[in-house]
Amino acid sequence: MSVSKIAKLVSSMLTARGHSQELSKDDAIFTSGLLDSLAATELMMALENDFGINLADADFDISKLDTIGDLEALVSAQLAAVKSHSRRF
Amino acid sequence: MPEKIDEKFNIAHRFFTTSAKYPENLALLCGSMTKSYAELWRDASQLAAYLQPRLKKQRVGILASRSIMAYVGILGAAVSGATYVPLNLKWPEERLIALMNELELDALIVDQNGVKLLSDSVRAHAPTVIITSDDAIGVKNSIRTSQLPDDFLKEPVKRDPSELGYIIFTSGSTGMPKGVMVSCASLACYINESDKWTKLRGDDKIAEAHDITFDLSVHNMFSAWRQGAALFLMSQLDMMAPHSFIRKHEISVWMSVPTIVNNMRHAKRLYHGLLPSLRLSIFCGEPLSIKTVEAWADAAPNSVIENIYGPTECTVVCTRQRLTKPPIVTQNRGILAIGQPYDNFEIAICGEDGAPLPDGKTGEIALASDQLSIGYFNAQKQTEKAFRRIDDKIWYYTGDLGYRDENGILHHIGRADNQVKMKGNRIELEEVESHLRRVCQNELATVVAWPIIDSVPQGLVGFTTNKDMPEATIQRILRKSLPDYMVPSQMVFKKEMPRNNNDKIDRQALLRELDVLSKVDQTTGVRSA
Repeated sequence: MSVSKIAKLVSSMLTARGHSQELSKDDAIFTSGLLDSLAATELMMALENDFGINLADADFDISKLDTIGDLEALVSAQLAAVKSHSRRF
Repeated sequence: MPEKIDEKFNIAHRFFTTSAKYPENLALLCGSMTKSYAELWRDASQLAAYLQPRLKKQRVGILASRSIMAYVGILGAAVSGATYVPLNLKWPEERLIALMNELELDALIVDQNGVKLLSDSVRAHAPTVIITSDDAIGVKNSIRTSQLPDDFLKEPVKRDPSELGYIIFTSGSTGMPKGVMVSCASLACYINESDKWTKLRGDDKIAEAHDITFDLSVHNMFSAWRQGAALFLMSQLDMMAPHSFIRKHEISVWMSVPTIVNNMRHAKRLYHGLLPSLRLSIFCGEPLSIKTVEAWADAAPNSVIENIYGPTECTVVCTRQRLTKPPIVTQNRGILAIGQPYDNFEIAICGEDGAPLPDGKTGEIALASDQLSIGYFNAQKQTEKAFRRIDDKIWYYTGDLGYRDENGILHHIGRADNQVKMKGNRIELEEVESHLRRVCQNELATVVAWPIIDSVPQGLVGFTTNKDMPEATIQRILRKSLPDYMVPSQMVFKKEMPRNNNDKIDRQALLRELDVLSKVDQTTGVRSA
């Protein structure tokens, strides 16, 4: 699992919905209306299932997922956590 | 008839009186922005002063949603004496243009997201008066809210009860959506009746989960404005984790389609006591499965739960069933009943000839009330077909199938025609088909809703007999004229279409085939369809 994969996933979702413009890392993708709630659910499931990120905390601040930059930060934090965990054992 | 307070019949009148009574109350929250009742009235009355001399047809389009601008626009249009018409941000260009041509709007209210839809070709068909929010990118010849002159209307313009409050579009079978016209009087009836059971208070925090193109938004805003309660607008992102939103803002009133709860349940988000702040939860727009509603009841132990039913044509809703212990279940469906009609409604269950059936028999649900909408915009034939005068009363034939049980409780069991509800969007399969036929250049093209889980359709599957166009191409072309939720997620190519007795394409046979194919998939692991 790599950090670039999440950006690819978002861009494939955008293409599937007929958006072709390039996004910068801090463009809002959900609050701007580029992607809808269905896409949001899809993305959230991918974060949990493919990237192993636990979003189950009922007070997780969802606004931290609105840009590709946010998502990459989240994924790389997760990768770092997994790495340090595996080093310990 | 509506109370005295609504005698002026302007749908914004109650907001006006509430804002004078509770100027400091929070009216709207959107992300990090808030508006008090006084601030929202100021913005709306300023917009209204600008709009009023520019009205000819008394119709103002709102190309905005889930934003402060959307609500300032709705209120401003209403205060100025106009009908507000929400335009869906998910509509493709072609549809936006077609509807703008038909609607002859006097003005367009646009937010940050709406501006992105104003391409050159859309602009060519849009009204010349365009007001955008300050956070939107610049549009030539438009005016921003901060540039509006310092003129304010002192009160909402008086309107005749029969004049239109709003027009909301729903899926239509001719390939174009139908605009349901709701009068100021019908809306006043609805809010009066609903107030009897929602019993909102000035300190209620109401979550708005839906777009303004969906009439659940009508319920939320006009109920809130009657009492001085606050609307908390959810962004698309907030919709990813509604439970976090409810907890963060200590939401007290929730209203949504059941699919949102189904998603939370399947993602294992719901647990006992998760949502203690809720005192009222309302579900509408789809069958409410007992599993879903009980999971919600467990998560929101302090909440009363109501299942309400009604087509847009009856002005939001007309029946209501509270979740009880044990729940009132619709036979063999595992869903909650739709309950008792509002006091101002007569409800009949009708046979194929349109005549009433006895209790216990299943037929089409027909409604009569002062609250009914007037009909469809620019569609006299469709209006006459659905709104039928019988003796001295107008009955609206819903196309929904249901029955009344021995206790007088109504149960909804599906659509008489091929209209389905998916994720809160109403879709007439014939509408999608008409586009699919055009794209495939083939009359043998059809669409079914499949699979159906917990009585809720999960997706659309298209069928056609010519294989020369790949699935992705068909979907890409369809997307030009249909919103995403109406584009089949899967295309199946068949040599021949199954036919029924009337020689029509047999949808039931196609559904059975899909069921069989999916079972084959599970056992062999091979994807066949």
